[in-house]
Amino acid sequence: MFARKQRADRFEHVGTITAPNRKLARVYAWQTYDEAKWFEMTVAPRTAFSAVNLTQAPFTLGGAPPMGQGSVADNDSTPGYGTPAES
Amino acid sequence: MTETTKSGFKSAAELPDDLHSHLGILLLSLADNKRMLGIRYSDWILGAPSVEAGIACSAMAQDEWGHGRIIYSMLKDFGHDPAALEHERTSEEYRSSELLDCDVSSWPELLALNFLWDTAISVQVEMLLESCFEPIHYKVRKLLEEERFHFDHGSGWTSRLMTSDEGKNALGKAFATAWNACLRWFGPENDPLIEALVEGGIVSTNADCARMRWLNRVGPTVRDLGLVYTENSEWVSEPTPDWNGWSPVRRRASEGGPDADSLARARGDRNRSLL
Repeated sequence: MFARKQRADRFEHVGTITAPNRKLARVYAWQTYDEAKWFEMTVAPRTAFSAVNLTQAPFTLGGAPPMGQGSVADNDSTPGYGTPAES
Repeated sequence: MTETTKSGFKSAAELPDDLHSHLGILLLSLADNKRMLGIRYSDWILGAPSVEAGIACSAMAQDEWGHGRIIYSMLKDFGHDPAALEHERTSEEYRSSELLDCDVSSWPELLALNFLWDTAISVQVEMLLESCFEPIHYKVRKLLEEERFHFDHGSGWTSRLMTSDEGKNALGKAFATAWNACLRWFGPENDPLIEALVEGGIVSTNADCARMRWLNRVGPTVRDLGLVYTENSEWVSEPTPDWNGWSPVRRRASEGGPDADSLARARGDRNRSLL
């Protein structure tokens, strides 16, 4: 989810939730991340995002690499521009 | 404050005796239903199909208790002692639905309460949005704002379960069990209580119109369960309401009430013994 407290603020990534459909994603986002009185919140499926500069970006592929397999930077074969992950 | 077509009543004291009595009955029923529905939601904070669903049940439980508390406090102006209402009544004195008398044992049954019953209560609350009874305006708006997430939760989960035969069968049984209680909650066609409140400008539509609004709201999602069909763009219930055992004052089945455990939790018995 992305949210902002005031109209003038930037949208910030505030967290993730797991939901079987868009309607429940909206409900869970609003009810789970209620730590602030948000001016606006928006939620999108992970598959809506495309990696821009990393070939194995955790955010777009579904999470951090398994323990013991190094950092994302170690796994990048080509730093900088690479093939975007499938969304 | 919004202008109304009839003279507004700025306090309960200004209401004529019959409207005062009838509105008091409706508000007590709404408050008890919200209190007990909150307890039913809270039963599923742990044990829901996902962590997020459990968090949603927690949020909905808190919402309903808050709504119940707001309405109970209004009942002071209708001759009730809010503290006595919340802590001292017997099970038979509660005006909440028979659907809420005890815990439900499955997620589809919880969805029957969430999607069907919670929506039925909200539709009745909507009837108060343009009420001539002005103290209720702001409270109703705030309450309905939170209820939209309850509807989306119920609708989202119902749609999810409808995608499998097993889910659909389970929903079909649970929703069929709850259906009659929801249909008759709005009252019979010429319910004298609702008719009087409509005539007095306290609620906006009669029992049949409210029932139709509820059917139009839930119909599209449950259309494959054999409970509704469409006629002239409206959703119509397949089963007709069965009024046997209906209590027009309790607004529920005349027999029964919250079970012992639910009553103790609603009244806070175990904790109040420490005070």
